[in-house]
Amino acid sequence: MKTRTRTRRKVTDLTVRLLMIGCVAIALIPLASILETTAVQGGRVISWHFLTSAEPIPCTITNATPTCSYGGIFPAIEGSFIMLGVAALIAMPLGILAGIYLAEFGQHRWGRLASFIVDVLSGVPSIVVGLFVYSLFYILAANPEDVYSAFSGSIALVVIMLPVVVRTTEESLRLVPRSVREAAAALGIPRYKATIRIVLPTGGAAVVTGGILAVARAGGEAAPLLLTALGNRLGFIGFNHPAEAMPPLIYQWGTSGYGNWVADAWGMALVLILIMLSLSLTARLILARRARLIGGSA
Amino acid sequence: MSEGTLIPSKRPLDEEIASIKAHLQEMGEWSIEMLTDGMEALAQGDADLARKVVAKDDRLDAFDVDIEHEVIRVLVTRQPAARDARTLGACLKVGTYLDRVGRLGLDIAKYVRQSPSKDQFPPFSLLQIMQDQSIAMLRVSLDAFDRGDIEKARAVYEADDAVDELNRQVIKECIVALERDPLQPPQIVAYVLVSRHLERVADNACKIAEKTIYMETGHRRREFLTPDNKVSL
Amino acid sequence: MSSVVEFPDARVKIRIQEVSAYYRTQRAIEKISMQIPSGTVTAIIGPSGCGKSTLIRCLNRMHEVSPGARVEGRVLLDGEDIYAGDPVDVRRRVGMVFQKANPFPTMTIYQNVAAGLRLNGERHHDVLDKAVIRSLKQAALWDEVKEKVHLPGAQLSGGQQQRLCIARALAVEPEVLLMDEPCSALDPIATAKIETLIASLKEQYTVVIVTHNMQQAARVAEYTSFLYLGHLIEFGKTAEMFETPKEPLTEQYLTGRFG
Repeated sequence: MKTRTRTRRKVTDLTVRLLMIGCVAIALIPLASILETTAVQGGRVISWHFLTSAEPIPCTITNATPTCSYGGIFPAIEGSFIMLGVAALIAMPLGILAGIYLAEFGQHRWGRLASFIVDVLSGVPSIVVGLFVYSLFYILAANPEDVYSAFSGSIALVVIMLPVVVRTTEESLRLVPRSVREAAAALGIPRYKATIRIVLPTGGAAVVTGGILAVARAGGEAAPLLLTALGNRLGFIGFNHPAEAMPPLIYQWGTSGYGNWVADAWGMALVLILIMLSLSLTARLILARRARLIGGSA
Repeated sequence: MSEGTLIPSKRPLDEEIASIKAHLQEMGEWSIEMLTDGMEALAQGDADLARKVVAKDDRLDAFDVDIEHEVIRVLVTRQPAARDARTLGACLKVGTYLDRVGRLGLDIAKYVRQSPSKDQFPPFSLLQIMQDQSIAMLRVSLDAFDRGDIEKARAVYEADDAVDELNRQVIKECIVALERDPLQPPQIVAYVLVSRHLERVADNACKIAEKTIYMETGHRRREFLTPDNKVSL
Repeated sequence: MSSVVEFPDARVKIRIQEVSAYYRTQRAIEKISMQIPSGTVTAIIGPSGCGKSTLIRCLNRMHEVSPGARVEGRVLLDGEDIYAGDPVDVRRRVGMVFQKANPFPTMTIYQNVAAGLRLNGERHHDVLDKAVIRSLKQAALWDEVKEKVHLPGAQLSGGQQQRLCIARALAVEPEVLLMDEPCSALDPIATAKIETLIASLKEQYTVVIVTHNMQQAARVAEYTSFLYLGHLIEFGKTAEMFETPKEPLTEQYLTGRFG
């Protein structure tokens, strides 16, 4: 009788295991499919020229390369980096400081309210963010042509990044055990110094990765930029002028119906995904290295 | 958040201390036997009885060692403090005192072996009284120790002076007898020694009483006995 | 209700006067008055929840860090009220070691010990070096770590980490060292090392140690105070209290009659 229940248990175990593996596989299929399609379609058009110039090479009989008439997406890459960079420069310090405040000093009612609002903000649809920033600049702009600009695009990205940075900073600092703060206080170290020099470095890795992931998220948003930065085939010509970025351009070219533009859109998609992946990996590596450093004696 | 409810007094330590005290009572009985038999052997000139007393020494020693082991085991395992610590310290000391009492009985018995003639030791009434009184003191002090009875312990102290006085009397009479006739048989020396031994038995009983008071109150010194022999607490 | 020992003024390092401490509405200790003598080790013992940790945390103003915490009464360090003025100053004179060793996780051994000095403005490397070596020696840790002071502090064993925390506290040269059950998370060998270390400290520092282990109090402390339900019951020389306690409650605690 004992053997019978044992076999039954083994069968159940195996069945459930197969079921779970099946579910994982199903969940992974869309992801794998996306990666594969992007790699295949995008790979066709990737070339140095594609990435670094603004105009496609006209295809003639004499220079018929496989990738001529495709490209160039340099303005989009340039625009994405610049706007993301500026947004990060604004959102990171603001977000980290806000996160520090909420984690260390925000135990009161207003602090908890602010935390809650930040949570809500991180869930606002990005198109709404875009609309909001657009309206803001519409009201503030001196002339109608100043409404669409790289600057407003950056602002839109800031609004998207900020809640993420605040949240991750706050939560990483909350994870720092109370004993660390107590030890610092007992040494006669003033609170602000203890926060900056001891608590923050302890939670530091998580804060940094939070920032990286915020950038990765903002970098992939198309909707807000459509309403703010608009687009600019000439490349980056100033903060008060419209600018190009990859996600909105993917949308525009991908739905255009022109074969080579669609192909270009796939190329940009591949570039975008590769950038996201490398940012993710960097974040993970930082966390892993920090964990190894700290987790010496368990 | 807080504790501090009193648990009932029966702890394992209580049983262990009770066991040690019971062994001490047994040891007390044994040493009293050695003493009584020794005096009897001396009075009757009974060499056989004297030999039996000597044979009892092994068991006396075994008592001493066993009690020591028990106490040390409790000290190591229970790490007692306050009254428990004092009690265990007192138990060790009482064991030593009882060992001395038994040895005194042994020494008395040995005088018989030296001179086995039956008529050698005519009854010496003072010694008889001393024997009765010291053994009574010992019994009372052991009882007081077992029950932690301070009043009884005090009573033991009070009886000590009488025994000291008896001892002095015996020595005086022996000196007088020697002066009268310098060729007295050797038992006159034995009388002096036996009297001394019995006085020591009474002293040991007093020490046991002292330990009883220490065990109960933590006070050691005799100064805590006021002029009218009352223990001031 | 309590038996207390008084010291001549010159020998009193900390004077605790009618101190009560609260967590919101709950009173943890009530009107405790006692004197901590200088240059020796004083132990605070009592059953769980009697307020010993709360009391010790009132001595370096760490109690007020807890939410809703309140302190009444006065604590005088060398005659000065520690509750008047900046708590940071008090904590530089009165150091603390906690129950669970808490070295700063991202710092090396060297950085841990130097943290108190560095973060209070000391920049000169030779001053820091000297202080680190001195403190590690005082904490009986130098020989074990002198080859690896630039490795992370978190890689030491539990007992070593606790000695590291002691070194860190000593590096700022406090006058008083408070220890809140420093050995309760350690094995007997590590405990013994720390007890030896405590004995060596009493020449230079005034040590107050909270312990739930009576035998430890008997081993390391010259004076002991017994707390029960937030009240001070008895304070006296350890040897005397453990042999012949004056208060019946003390006797009951020492003989294990508390559940």
